[in-house]
Amino acid sequence: MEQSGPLLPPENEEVWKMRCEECVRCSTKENCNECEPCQVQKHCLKRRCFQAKRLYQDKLAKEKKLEEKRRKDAENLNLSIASVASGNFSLNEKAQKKGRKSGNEKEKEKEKMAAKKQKEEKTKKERDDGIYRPTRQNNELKRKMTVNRKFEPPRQCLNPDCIRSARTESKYCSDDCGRILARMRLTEVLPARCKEYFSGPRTHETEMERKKMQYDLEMKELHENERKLVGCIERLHQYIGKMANLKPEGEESKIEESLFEACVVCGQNDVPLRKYAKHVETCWARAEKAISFNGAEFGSDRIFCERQDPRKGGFCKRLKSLCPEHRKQGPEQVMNICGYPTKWDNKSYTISEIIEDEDPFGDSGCMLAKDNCSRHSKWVVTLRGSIELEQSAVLLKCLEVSQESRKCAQYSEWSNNVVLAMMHNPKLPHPSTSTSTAET
Amino acid sequence: MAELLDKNYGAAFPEELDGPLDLQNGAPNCCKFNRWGTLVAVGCADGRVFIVDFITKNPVKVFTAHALPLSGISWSRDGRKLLTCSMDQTIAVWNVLTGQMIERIRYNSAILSAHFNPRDDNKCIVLRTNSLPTMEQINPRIQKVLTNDTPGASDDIICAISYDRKAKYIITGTGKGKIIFYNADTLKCVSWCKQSSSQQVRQIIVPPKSNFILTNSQDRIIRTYVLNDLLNLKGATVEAQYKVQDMVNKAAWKSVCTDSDGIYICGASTKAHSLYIWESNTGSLIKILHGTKGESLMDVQWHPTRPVILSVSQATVSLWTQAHVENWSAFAPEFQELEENEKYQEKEGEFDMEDEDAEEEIKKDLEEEEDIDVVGLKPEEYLASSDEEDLTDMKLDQTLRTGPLWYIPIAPDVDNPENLTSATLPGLEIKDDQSLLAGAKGIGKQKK
Repeated sequence: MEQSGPLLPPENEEVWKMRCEECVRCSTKENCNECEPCQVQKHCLKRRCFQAKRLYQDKLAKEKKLEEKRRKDAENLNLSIASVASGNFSLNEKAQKKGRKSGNEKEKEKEKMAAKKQKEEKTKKERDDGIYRPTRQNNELKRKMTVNRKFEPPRQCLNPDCIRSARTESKYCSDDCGRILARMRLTEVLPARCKEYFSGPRTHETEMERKKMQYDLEMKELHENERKLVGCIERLHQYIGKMANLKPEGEESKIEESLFEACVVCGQNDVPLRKYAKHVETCWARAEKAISFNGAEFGSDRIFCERQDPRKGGFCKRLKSLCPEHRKQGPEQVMNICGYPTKWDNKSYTISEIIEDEDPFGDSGCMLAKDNCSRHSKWVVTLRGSIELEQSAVLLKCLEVSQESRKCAQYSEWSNNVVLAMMHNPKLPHPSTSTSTAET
Repeated sequence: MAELLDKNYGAAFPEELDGPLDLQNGAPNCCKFNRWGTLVAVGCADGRVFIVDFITKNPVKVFTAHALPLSGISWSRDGRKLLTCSMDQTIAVWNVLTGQMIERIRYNSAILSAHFNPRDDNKCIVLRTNSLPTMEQINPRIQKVLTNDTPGASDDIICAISYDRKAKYIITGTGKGKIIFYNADTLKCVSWCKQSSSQQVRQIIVPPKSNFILTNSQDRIIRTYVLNDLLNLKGATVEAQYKVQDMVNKAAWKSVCTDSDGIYICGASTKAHSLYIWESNTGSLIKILHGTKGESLMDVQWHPTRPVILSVSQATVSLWTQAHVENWSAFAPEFQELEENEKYQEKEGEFDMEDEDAEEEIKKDLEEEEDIDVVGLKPEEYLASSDEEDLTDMKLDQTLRTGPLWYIPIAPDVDNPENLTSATLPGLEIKDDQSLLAGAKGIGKQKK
């Protein structure tokens, strides 16, 4: 069992000088030269007597007692001299008696204190001398000393022109030498490495370029889309302007009264078809109001509602034309008639067709009064809602594309790094891959 | 053989609630399984569509499809496209893998339902309020109206529509209880008949593997007909092959579905949150599954191959499966289930190196062994339809570049890249904390 003791503070060396001469440790005559204290030229672990501590403390106690005695004697002597000088024997006796008594008490107290101190010291020592606990403080001293204790010859400073020996714990004799060597390294190695690095096939670079171009194209497309959507809304406004002042005429066609449909929001099974649209609308408004759609910041209020919630301070992020809480009457309120484009009566257009078309709405519209027309209920609102949905989809795509192109730019910046060129030695194999990387 | 293996021995219908699907606080509205039952598309009242992987029960794709609530969803045959229709008067076709919209068509009124042609994902049928149903072709854009030429059709509006399972016919149901068949290509009326009750037909259901069609009518009875019986009729009144209904409460049915063979019928009741399961040929009620009280059902779907039902109520989507009883004796022939601890008695030949009782092995000729292909993927026969061309069309491709979309790959969801360990990303070498992030990025690059 190798018991290594902690590095003791110098004064405790005294302890190990005590020997009982009976135990096995006292009988080993030579230092082992292996344990920690041996290497630091302290008392070898294998030669530390088991009784050493106790013996040492006994010795300490004895010494203390001796001191006490001497002190007391000195005191008594002084006292007696004083009493002799004053000629007061009774006093002396009393003093002596007193002294003895009080001295006894004092002595007892002192002894107690001493005993306590000794106990503390003992525990301290025991703690220190106990099982080797490699604390940082212990190791520090040891480490410093072990470095110094290297049995190697001192090495030469790495600077090729320098003939001095390197400092301890350094490769150079001084900072200047280090700097000189670094400069030499740069001037000799860097141009060659750079040439090698930058002239070779730069696949990463070309890949990033390609991607960047792709993203730029996508962004252009998205901008184009956005422009078209905005144009579509403008055309809608124009059309509404055209239809604005026409008077309603014509009669509404009756709907079959006994047909039922199920509401998609609340699940009610038997909603009469006549009231279906209205029912779904109110149902949906109710459900939407129950969920909050607040965002923290104010965006643009072209697409999203962006009305501030007075209680929580967030901004309503619903689509502007369809927000059940904050929606005001839109541009369609100027119309008295339904105005559903007759162009759309016989054919259902795709949204892309509507957006692309120069004149998607045509010239004439459904002439029924707006509230009475059951075939085309609220078409302006839903159309605006659809277009706003498209716009928000375009925005989202824009965001994604811009994030990707930013990453691309970041990556291509990394690969243009000179430091990277210096550090990258293409001749050595990379530890995690078996072949060298694509840069070379 | 594969069919037998797939069906559990015993009852082939679900018996208990397995749990809800996690939908991140959407308000689900309708749901549809894809053709193989590996993905579920769930539409919500806020216009979003969730595509949920059935095996892991987690949403793999979410996109905002419409501005107003969805009313119906339909998968294309190869599972790569999704058709959604909504109250915002538009239908939209989506590319499932990328989540991008392919096309959006605008109508003049709210859409009630829309279905892809089961054999051609360029075509679909659309049913709206206050208008005649139309057949749409997406590219190039053609729209054809289904007109009702039957006598007495002037005030008889079509209320329910569906393709038959081979896309030969379009089946419609009217408000007066008529069933009209159109040829799917020419859109000419092929046959029409009347149900025994003249109440509105609410829903027409076509099971994917049998020759039946089912109708859910306003009179709260679910009728099953054999398809061939209804063809080439000119207005005759037909009697249903089988009829099922709720005898006790006369509950109305919000939605009806069947298992893929048409043996079991499942009806979602409007009154309480309960699912009724009948055996269709006897008409007897087998099971009533009760969900949480207070919620009303919106939609119900039966899994194409397993005895699993998905039911959509107002707040959650619940999964119903068969009761799973653990039978430990099934694991090994000598495995015994014990009630309490018993002292172990070893048998005589328990720890012998050689088995004395076994017969001598006959050494097989190595040359006679066949090469068994364990790597290649073959399409399962029970999943394909009875047409022969399917087995080549439906060849499964692991890279998903061709063939049907039978799963959707997603990247693992990593919240905090600094916490990556080599357990989560195999092949990641961790040198120290600083290089974790770099390592993760490196792996990302390599995979490209």
